[in-house]
Amino acid sequence: MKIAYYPGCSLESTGIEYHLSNKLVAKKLGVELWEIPDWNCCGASPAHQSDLFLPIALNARNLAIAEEEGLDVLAPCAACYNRMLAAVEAVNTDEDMRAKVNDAIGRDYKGTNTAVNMVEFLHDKIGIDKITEQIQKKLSGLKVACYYGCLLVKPPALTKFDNPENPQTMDRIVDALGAETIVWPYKTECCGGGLAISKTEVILKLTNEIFSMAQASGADCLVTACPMCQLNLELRQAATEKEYNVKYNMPVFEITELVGLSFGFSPKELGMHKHFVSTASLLKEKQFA
Amino acid sequence: MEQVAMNTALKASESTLSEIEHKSHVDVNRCFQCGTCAAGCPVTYISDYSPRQIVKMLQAGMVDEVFKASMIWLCVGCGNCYSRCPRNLNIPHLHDTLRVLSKEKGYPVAEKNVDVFNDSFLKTVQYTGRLYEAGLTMLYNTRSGNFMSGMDVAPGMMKLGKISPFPHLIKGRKEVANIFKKMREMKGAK
Repeated sequence: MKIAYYPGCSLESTGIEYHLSNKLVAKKLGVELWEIPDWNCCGASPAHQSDLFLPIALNARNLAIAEEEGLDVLAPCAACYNRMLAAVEAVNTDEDMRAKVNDAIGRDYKGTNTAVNMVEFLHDKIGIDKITEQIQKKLSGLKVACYYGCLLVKPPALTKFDNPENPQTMDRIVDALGAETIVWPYKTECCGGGLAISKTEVILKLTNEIFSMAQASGADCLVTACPMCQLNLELRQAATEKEYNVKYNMPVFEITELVGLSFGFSPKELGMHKHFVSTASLLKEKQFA
Repeated sequence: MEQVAMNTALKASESTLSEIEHKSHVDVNRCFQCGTCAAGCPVTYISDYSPRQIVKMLQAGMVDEVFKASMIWLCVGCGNCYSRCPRNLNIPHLHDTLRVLSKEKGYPVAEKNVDVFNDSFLKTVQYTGRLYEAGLTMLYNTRSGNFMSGMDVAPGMMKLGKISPFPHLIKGRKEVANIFKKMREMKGAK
């Protein structure tokens, strides 16, 4: 299988462990990740908050390059994924927008391809059976809270993926790896990512609620499929603990890090030493390292 | 019998309301004020108005108040409201549209730091083709006056080798710059 791969800006910097894990896992599954040559930023929330045309055009350029190869785009960042879907929809429903966008990008984007998120890719395109075949080490004893966040599943009219209130696809993958998924109610609560810099106090409150619920539900760690959620939840964890006088010490993994670990890759190969919340003691305690 | 205009604000803001509806594709008159959006909104607690109130104010023609509201700047676009709305209103996109129009019409920005962050972020994309984190931090900190913003976490990022002090310049950055140029032309042409 071959699919276009759009890392997005985070995966080359703050989300490098996700990038490394995706590449290793894809190779093991026999998937060719064709990285979109010379891709540009999706514009993230600043683009769609500033203009109605800009976010569509920025994403259309990347989508057009993949469309020329006849490929759909795997977008491991939930924010990029959501913005790409919005661009596909706009180009397909608004003739005037499509003309303006194509004029701006100097390409003829027809809107025939689409974006796929990482959980959707593993669950729907690869399948649990194929993943299970590659498992070398069961992640027994690891209690995982699957955190889908907002943009992977919402709004459902756009993503058409899983369930916006109680999604299950990531849980099924984690279960297949031999880990124990916990039942908890904050799977799709917002972590406030977009306000991380301009309104940091919001992040402390929202992430505190998420970690406090995960801890009360018995989780050792969280798993996400978004570098924005992952960064936001780990980067401010120390400040959150200080602000609310609590202790979490809870790493947040990307889904492919856990898949990679069960495929037999070492934590170092998967970039697990690059977390803001150290993964070392948990990996040692569960005898994964 | 001739109808009496019971709400003069509604009459006065007719053209602005129709511009909002045309650009957002959201018909606020469909809303029956159940409040589900407000109940699930993660930022209502720090905002002046809830999403339900924003829609109600538009129904009443209070466009000036809406354009000055902090809610349209604080909305993080999580999509809870839209996902749960029994009338299927795309409120995040309504907020995006209100934010864009509010700036175009010259209303005061209720949450300056959000605006400065967005603008600084996009500047780095416009010139390099991608997000340039170190550049964003420098621009945001100097323009917002929050000189120490991010300095608590920056050493950790550097130590882990996650943030580069240099930008990654894509080859097609002229194409990206052209997208921004077209956007400005359209804003001017409007």
